[in-house]
Amino acid sequence: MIDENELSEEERDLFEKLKGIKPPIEMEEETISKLKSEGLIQSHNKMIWVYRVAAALAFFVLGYAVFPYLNSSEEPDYNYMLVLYQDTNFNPGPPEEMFDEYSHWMQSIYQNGMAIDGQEMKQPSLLLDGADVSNNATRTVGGYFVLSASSQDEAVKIAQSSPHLKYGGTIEVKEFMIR
Amino acid sequence: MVQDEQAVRRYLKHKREQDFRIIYQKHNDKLFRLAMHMLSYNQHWAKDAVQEMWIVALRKVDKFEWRSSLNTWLTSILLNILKRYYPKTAEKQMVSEEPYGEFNLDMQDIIKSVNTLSDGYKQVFVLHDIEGYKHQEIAEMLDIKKGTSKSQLFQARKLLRSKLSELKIRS
Repeated sequence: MIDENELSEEERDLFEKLKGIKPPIEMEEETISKLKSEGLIQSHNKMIWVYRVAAALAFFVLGYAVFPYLNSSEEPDYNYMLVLYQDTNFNPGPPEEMFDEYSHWMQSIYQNGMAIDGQEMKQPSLLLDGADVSNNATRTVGGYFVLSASSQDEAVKIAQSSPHLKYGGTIEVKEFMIR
Repeated sequence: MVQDEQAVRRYLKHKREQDFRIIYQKHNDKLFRLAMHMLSYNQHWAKDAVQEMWIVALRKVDKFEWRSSLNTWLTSILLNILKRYYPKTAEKQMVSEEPYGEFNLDMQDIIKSVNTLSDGYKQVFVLHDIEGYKHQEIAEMLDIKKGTSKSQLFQARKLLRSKLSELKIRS
């Protein structure tokens, strides 16, 4: 006899299927775009483009000045990657200030004689798991640096000096596999 | 709850996109699902309703006093917004012409049956039996008594069971 106050196991299984409904992938970006137009999410300061162009020009000039003194026939032999992760503990500052900070840090590593390059990544991340695609990863990659270090210890020391850690991010240090 | 409070505080400080994403990614799936159940599985309506909810919520979140969980609060805002859509769903007795994904027979039966419930019964059934909210939370969200939530659920299940066995007999 079914207790009408409780769901049967068959009913639980049936209703469980209705939990499989997920929002469309593009909904997050659309929502953020709407919130920005309502002024409820800070839009990127237009000045950030000026800072980025200025930083890019500065790097170009630096490279142009240093280039003749490098072995110009060779690309740098990067052998380590620093993968920059961010999750709920990541507490970033204003984007333009952070960009400057990371750029200056990278520049200082370079000026100390180590080849280094890097790239900031856009959010969100899309996760593929079999046929499923989702964008609700709790930990995502915020960017990476590649560098030419003499040892893993040296690469770890460089990672430890990165501003990414003080903002609550984590860094994975990976050596290239050369086959 | 402490995590939600921290996330909201961070958002309120600078209104940064990344702080909002943390809140969104934690709560949006469940809210969207609720909107789908209540709006005949019409994805466009559900998306519009949930996005409207986020706008309303972010405008008011600085006044939220944390007497309930953030999820409960967001859900009550959404349920208020959904009421405006109910006349549209009443025009469509069957599942939306733009069905969400590929439904197998079981899913079609459940959805058809759920859609025959009145809005009041459907709300309580969806919140309790599909989304797992307790009667106390449902009572807060819908501004009804706990006893009313229980009796509405009882009636909803009775009607659903009758509808589901009718569909099984036909098939």
